[in-house]
Amino acid sequence: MSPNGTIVYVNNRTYADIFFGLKGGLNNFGVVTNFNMRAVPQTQVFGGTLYYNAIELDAINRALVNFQSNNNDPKAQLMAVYVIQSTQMNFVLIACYDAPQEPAGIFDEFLNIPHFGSLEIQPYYSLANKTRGLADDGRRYIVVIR
Amino acid sequence: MKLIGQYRVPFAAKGGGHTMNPHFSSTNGVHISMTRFQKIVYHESNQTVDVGAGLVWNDVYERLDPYNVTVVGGRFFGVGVAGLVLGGGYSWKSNQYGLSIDNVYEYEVQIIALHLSKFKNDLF
Repeated sequence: MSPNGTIVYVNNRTYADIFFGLKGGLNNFGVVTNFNMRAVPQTQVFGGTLYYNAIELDAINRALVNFQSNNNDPKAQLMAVYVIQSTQMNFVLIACYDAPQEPAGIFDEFLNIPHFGSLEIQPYYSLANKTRGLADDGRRYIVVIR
Repeated sequence: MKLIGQYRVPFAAKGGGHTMNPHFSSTNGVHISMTRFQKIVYHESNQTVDVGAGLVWNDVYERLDPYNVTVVGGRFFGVGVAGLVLGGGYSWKSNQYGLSIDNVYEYEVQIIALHLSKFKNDLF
């Protein structure tokens, strides 16, 4: 196998084996310079980041189990982040509901536990931008409460 | 790519550079930065988007926002396009549309070898 610098367009008809291989293949078949992806509709979303003190961990763990067991709305998703800072564990919840309205009841158990932060209707990119404090330049997963 | 092949040196391609794991977007050999691959083109006719390998997802979403569309990509600020979509890719849309790798129609690749059969003894 010798690299020859050729630029090719890999899809399920032109090079089906490489197309399959690139589904998880990282840089093992060459350097990928562009992705042609499916466009999906996007409205504003309801979501945000909630910050919890370690004292609430039991209630949070129960709420996570209940969400996992009971939620059947594919528009609702959570990212649960356990953060260890020196000797203390805190908890960060990022929630997203992929529609421009607050879903009835789905996030209530988390919102009823004392927290900082809020969930709100906002553009989709704004939700990603607001995790900036968790992964700023030169740092990773450092919680900034503001 | 020709020189990397000729001298068989290790190389890495850095997309967003988010992952801290050694050798994911770092190397002792040739380090290829994808920073200038910043293209985003929304094709309304066939409902696809061309996404450059040097972008980060939050910029992709912001530039697609005026069209009321998005692509199935990463959830966090600063995560790069290339590493996530070539490795798997959990998204806020994944419960509805699957992983990022399920949503790629075509890759533009500066290729190492055109026929995967050449790798088969190593891979399978």
